[in-house]
Amino acid sequence: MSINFRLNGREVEVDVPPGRRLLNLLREDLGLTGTKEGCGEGECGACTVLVDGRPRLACLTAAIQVEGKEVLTVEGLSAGGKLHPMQEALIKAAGVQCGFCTPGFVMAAYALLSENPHPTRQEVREFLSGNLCRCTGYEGIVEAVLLAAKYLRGDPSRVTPDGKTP
Amino acid sequence: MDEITQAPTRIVGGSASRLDAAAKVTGQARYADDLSFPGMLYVKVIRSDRPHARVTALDLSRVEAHPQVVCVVTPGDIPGENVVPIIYRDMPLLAEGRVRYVGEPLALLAARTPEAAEEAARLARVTYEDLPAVLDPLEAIREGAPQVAVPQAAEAGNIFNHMVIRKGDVGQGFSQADVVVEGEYRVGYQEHAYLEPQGVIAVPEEGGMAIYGTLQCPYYVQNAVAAVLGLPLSKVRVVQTATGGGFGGKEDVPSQLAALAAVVAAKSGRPTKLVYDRAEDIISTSKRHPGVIRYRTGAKRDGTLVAVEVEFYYNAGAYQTLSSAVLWRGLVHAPGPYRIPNVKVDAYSVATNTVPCGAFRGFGSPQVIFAHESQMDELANRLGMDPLELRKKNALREGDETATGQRLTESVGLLAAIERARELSDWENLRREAEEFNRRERFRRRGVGVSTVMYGVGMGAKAPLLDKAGAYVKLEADGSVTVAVGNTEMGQGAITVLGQIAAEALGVRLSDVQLAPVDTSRVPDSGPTVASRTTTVAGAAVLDAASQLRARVEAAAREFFGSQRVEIADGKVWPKDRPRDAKPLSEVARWMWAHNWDLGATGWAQGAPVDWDPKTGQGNAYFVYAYACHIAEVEVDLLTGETHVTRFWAVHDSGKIVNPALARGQVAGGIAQGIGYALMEELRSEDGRIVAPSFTGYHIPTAMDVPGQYVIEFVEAPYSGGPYGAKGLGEVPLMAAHAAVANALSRATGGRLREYPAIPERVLGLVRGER
Amino acid sequence: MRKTGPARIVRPRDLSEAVRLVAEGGRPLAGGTDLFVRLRREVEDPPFLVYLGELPELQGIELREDGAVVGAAVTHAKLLRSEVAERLPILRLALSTIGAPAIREMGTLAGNVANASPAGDGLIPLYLLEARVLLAGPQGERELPVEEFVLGPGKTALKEGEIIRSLFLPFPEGEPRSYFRKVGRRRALLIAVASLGGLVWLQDGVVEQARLALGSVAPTVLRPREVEQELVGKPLDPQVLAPLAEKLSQLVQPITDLRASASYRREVAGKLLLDLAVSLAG
Repeated sequence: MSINFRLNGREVEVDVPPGRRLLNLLREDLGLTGTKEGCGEGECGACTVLVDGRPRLACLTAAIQVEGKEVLTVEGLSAGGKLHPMQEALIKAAGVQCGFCTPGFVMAAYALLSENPHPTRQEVREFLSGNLCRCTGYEGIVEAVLLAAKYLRGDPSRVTPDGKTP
Repeated sequence: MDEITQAPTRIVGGSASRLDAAAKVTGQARYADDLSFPGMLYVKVIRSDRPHARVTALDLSRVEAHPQVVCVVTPGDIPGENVVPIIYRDMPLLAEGRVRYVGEPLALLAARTPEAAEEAARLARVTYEDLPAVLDPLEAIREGAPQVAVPQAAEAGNIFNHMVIRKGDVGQGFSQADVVVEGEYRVGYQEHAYLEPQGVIAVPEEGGMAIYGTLQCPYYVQNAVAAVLGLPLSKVRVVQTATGGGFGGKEDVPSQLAALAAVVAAKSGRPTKLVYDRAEDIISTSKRHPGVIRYRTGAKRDGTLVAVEVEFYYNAGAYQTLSSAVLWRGLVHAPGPYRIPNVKVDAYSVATNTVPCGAFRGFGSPQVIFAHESQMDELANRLGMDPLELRKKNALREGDETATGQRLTESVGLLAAIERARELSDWENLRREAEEFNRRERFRRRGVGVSTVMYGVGMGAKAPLLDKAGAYVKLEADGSVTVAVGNTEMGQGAITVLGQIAAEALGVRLSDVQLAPVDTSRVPDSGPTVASRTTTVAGAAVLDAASQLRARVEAAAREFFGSQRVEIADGKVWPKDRPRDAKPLSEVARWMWAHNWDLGATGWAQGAPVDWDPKTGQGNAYFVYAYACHIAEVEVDLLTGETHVTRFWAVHDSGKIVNPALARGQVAGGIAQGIGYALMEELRSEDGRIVAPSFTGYHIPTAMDVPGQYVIEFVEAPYSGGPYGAKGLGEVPLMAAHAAVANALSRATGGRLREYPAIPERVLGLVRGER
Repeated sequence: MRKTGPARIVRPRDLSEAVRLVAEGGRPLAGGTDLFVRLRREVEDPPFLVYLGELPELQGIELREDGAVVGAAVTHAKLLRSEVAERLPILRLALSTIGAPAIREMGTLAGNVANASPAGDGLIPLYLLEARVLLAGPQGERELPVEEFVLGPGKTALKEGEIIRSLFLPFPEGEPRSYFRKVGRRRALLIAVASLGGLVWLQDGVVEQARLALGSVAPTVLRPREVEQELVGKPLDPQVLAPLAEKLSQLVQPITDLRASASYRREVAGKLLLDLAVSLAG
């Protein structure tokens, strides 16, 4: 079956069974391996992508469910070669370790900051509670989201990863 | 090295960003399942469905008939030896005639798609004749228990190993004690729950095999693949892909996966991918050993420890794998970081019909730490002493002798860690606050708990041959630097830390340094990436190589500048008396290249000598120890038994901290794993089958289950044998954290937790005063 | 097909086609948060799925004077962002504990009803509000109270070919206080081991009327009406309510499973009433 949707800003058309998991569609059919499979059952968040701006788990989404929609994956955030502030912040706040959960966190955090540019620490923790991380103890990740919120608000104290103030 | 150790550092000690961070935040980092090769097949393992049985027939005809199946492998197809060589050689790659645990590999198939591989695996028909199974270690050592262990791999019956410590005379010690506390502690499995499941790809190459995979120990994998293929080591090349967490779970298990994939690749002549889903990963791979630990501690009225007697049993599972090494670390760590004149420890690892257990952060020590830290608190209660004071009183100091008779001659930061933790947490006040809270609240209680631990860095006297490392550092002709080490990055920050050491020693910027991809054909054997040894041992090898290279660059620069003394820093070189003539290192490098200087240097390091007498358990067990003191505040809901870790303080002595931000990340992550171990992580089995092998069934902490903020600090007691004074860190935070949580929880409930995890149900029991 | 998803999914044009396809044996699919896991684990193996998630007839949230009509395809997240959640704090309390944000963006309240799990967090507010389930089937539409719709774990009154069209959530009269708590071993991504929801109308510190609903302690969500009756006239004082908590414990019919034992569930079911008292008294 032919499925059409927008992926990271570009129209795509794929011929796949309607029940093919979005996760396989992205990773195997379209070669976007940034979205990860950690559990396959919606319990870890490693496959979080945005569909029409909202977080969704690609492991529990069938191709037919994104027909006509806008899908954003981690690859779409830094498409121009420039890191998104959320990505910058994760580097700066040491919120990355093994990195396998990272794309999912990036997308979940992106969704949070789009609907709530001023999250409290508690709100960040709640919003990210569906994304498991086994390395960081979440501290660096939560810090990174708070830092990215500052970046996105154009806070003058914003510091880029190379230590310069833009 | 001493000179460098004492000089102020520019890069070592700074919180540089991870070298691999950009690739990871953009999704560009390539993990095992992200790779594919032309013509690649998908492997599926046909596994035993019985805990203990004779396999009377294995009918794979329907599997072979599946149109998408390309290749089927049974033991007869293994070109080399049918074994997964780890410490012993008791574990077959594919079971022949007899299975010893549910999930044991029996045969393999490869199909053109992963879906077909799964479908075909279900067509296998295995006929079993069940044998009596034994699942509990205490039952497995009883007279008449079914024999599980391969006899050649066991000391007696199902006892794989029995190890001892005998120091002083415990009988006499206890007779001097004013107070004796005693307890039995139980722990279950802990699952690594690395976010990336196990996965490898085997790719046939000219006369040999290449393995790509998520793994900690490439040289272990090389050894295993060479054994099953009957190839020389030089024909097996292992390449580490980006690795999504290890925690010990990717120490020995990847050897099994790689060997499985390799035999299929060898037979089919095509690349083969074997990636587990979460369920297969949980069912079939190693975990932390469940254990039963019996402990007795005697002390004088003033709190001075006089005797400790320990007996513990670890459930090793059906095969040895790493259990003897795990047991040994448990043995050495059982007495804790205390001065104890009389010690008797008996440690047993026992074979049962369950999945083999293996390495997991702490490696046999967290189980006994739960026991010794609970004992210290029970003792403090009995003596009416502050538990932190009691620990301080008995803490090992420089010049003291450990329970294994090792004299600690340097780098003992335990007292400093305890003192700093006390200050940071405002200990006395914190305890008072908890009491006030408990008076005020009707259905909630708070408790504050402390733990202290020591950790023997490196492989120790059980495997001293593995505590060595090679490194290769190369100055490129443009002044950039390539560092090749056989240790792996699995999230802990190894490549960044090793890069910092190279940059510091060479006088270049960290951004000039690139770590070579780990490929056994291109990087030296640096030993396994385990035992919190990488910074200390591989770091010393990198430092050795970089120091040699620096000496050469200095010699060249003297010629280049025509100056007696030159300086190198931040990627610039200058004559000492003419700093304004500074040139970029690239110019000197180019000049060296043009004048035929050797731009590469090989470094080597090995741990300081250790020794061990297995009869008495006395000796210099490890070349150095790291220490930590953790304090946790835990809140308990008296109505539901639910718990929450509200605040946490952690102070570590791991010698010089090379990268404080990364070190902090290690500590916070270890605390979270410790919270999980103590409070929620539980993997149930029924009849030898793991039930609910999923993240729905096995709960690890979410962002809501960790304290809102951690207070983390380092007291640095430098170690003369480590690069810039560094010791190991990686495992220590987990080891200390769960015990502080357990003690805090016990205080909050007024009971005494003796079994992990403290799920709400068990906590309500403690509240009710049940034990 | 375990790893890459079910092969056949059809997307009907309208409700009547959906009903026809379901009557032909298709399994309704909305958010998929539960169904896809069941398919993966091979708990069920339907011939094909009927994707209802985007049927226009199932989308809306309609506010009426006496309550809200919530289309069967409305996700938890959409409901939480709607005015309905403002009008019904009990709905907000319960729905915001379901899974995690991404799960709430996918899963639907009607899906929670169709699953008929005693642990379904979304069912608790529906039982408390005495919601009604509107069904569409080959024989037309009919309506059932949620308590009559849910028959047991995974069992509902759905007849062949019927699908849930919408839910009607009546607005309670007056201003009851709302309570929801679920219990388990962690604080997020949690299937309740036991849960209690409550709507309590207070007059001068004394209970005027009360509705309680318990989750995960019986084959279905449970309304302990006897205890609700006995609460009337009592102050929200744990000491006074202790005998009622005891009674609540006796009323439930929990089971032992992986997550908890029956005796724990029984004990906690009662204790949660004390927590309700403390929480709502303040």
